Amino acid sequence: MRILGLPLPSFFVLIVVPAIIVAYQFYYCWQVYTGRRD
Amino acid sequence: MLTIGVIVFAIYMTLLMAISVVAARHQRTSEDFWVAGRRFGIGLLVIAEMASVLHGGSVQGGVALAARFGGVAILPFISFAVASLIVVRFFAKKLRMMAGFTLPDYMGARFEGTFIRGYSAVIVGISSVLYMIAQIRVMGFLLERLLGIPFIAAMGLGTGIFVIFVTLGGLLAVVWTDIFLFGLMWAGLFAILPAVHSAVGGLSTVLDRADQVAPGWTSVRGTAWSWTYLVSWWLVWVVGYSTRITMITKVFAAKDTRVARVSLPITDALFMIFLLYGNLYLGAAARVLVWPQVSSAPDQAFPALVTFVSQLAGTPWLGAIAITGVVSAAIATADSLLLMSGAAIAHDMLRKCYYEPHGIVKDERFYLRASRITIVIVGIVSFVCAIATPDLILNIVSYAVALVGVAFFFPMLFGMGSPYVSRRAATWSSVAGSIVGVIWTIPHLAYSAWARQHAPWILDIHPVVPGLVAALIPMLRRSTRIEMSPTALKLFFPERAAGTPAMRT
Repeated sequence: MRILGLPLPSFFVLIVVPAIIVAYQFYYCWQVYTGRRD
Repeated sequence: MLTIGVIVFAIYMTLLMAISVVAARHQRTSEDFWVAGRRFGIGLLVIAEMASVLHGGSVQGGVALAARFGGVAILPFISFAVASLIVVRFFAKKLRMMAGFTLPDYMGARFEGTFIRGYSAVIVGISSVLYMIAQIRVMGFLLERLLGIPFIAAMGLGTGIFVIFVTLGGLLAVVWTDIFLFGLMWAGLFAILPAVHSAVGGLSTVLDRADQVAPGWTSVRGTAWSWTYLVSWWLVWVVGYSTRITMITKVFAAKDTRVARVSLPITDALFMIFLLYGNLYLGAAARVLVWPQVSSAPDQAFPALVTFVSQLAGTPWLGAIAITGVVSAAIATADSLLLMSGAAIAHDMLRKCYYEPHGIVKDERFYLRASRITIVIVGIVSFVCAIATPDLILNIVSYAVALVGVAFFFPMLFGMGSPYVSRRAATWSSVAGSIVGVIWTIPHLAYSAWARQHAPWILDIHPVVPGLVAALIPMLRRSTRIEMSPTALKLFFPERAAGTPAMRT
């Protein structure tokens, strides 16, 4: 099975895992930006 | 394409020089020169970070490495995301609070030692030269193709552009032109998208075709890498990206600690989206369309791809614009690097390690002049080294970021996390990590044929791994008391500054 032309393990390594980590960074920074976190 | 190339390049250089001359008029103090007066908001900071992180090798070297080894293997997105998280969570706020100029500034302020500051400046200087070698080679390949001049002359011209541009205007000029370069870089690369698309199809199609001509091209390990090397590669970019000198400097230029942090995930996300196109898609296209012509010199893959698709589409001017876009990326990064090396020598070595400790007062103009002379010297040394360096561009960059990473990663991570990390531990970590890393790099760069025959495992492990192990050992022995002065403690750990019983006076 391929997604965007990538085999499934490659899709997870290249897209899914980094996207989750970046999403967490955005959540963290949103809290900083809105003053809920120092 | 040559005549069009010369015209596009002439217009481009005229605009760059005009911006640089205007910016030079706003240059008064060291703070203006190195951190642009610490006035950046989120938008400007993201552009400045993107322009410095997306170096010429990101496209030129990235396409070459992807075409050769596989698009997924060479793109360490997990590392970029983890490293960015480390900077956001642990580094950005404290670095901005200390309001320094450079990484050696941090080492000097946190660990309060002249030796560790001076040693850090040397590491930054060496790393800048390595990094500059890659940028100069990028310029050589591109200007050779764009202007039709010999490779060495093209590298010389590229070095001249880097040096003149930075010595004129400093970071302010770099940032103003970064906006211009940033737009041109994206426009240039996306200008060839329709031509590449009509030649090889969309992403799914080109990845399928790449797998057919090079089995394993889209797999996690690519066509040739072992798991050991892949994990090493990921590790290189975690430590390299989180201590990336060009990016850390931009954190110093943020207008406050909030802006310093919020800009980073935006930069990180844009950077990765850009590389999906610039490395994965274009790398696969290069493997499918031009690999037989460039397999003996993979760094030619991007210029060859651009020439191929623009001739196929009957629009040679597109090729000139695309190549100028990558030239922009190289200039933006090289400028940040030259500024770093100038600051490392003039600010960290001369001012903080010699003149100020000896009570010698020098005015701002002296330090600005010293940094400009340093920039010229670093440019010349890098040019000479670039002539004699055969390695792939992105490999050279990986050694440069690895050297900075092994020297600074643990002193930054532990030093900002705990006040108990002593100057002694940080110094040993920095020295041991960088020396072991450099020793391990020698067979990679100079004796790779010998190593491949007699000890291939040396080449299978990137220098960052032994370097990091050596850097970690001194950090494991924790001090039982806080050795920081009250000033440093207040700067880095304000919550602990009051009432700490074992503080050094």
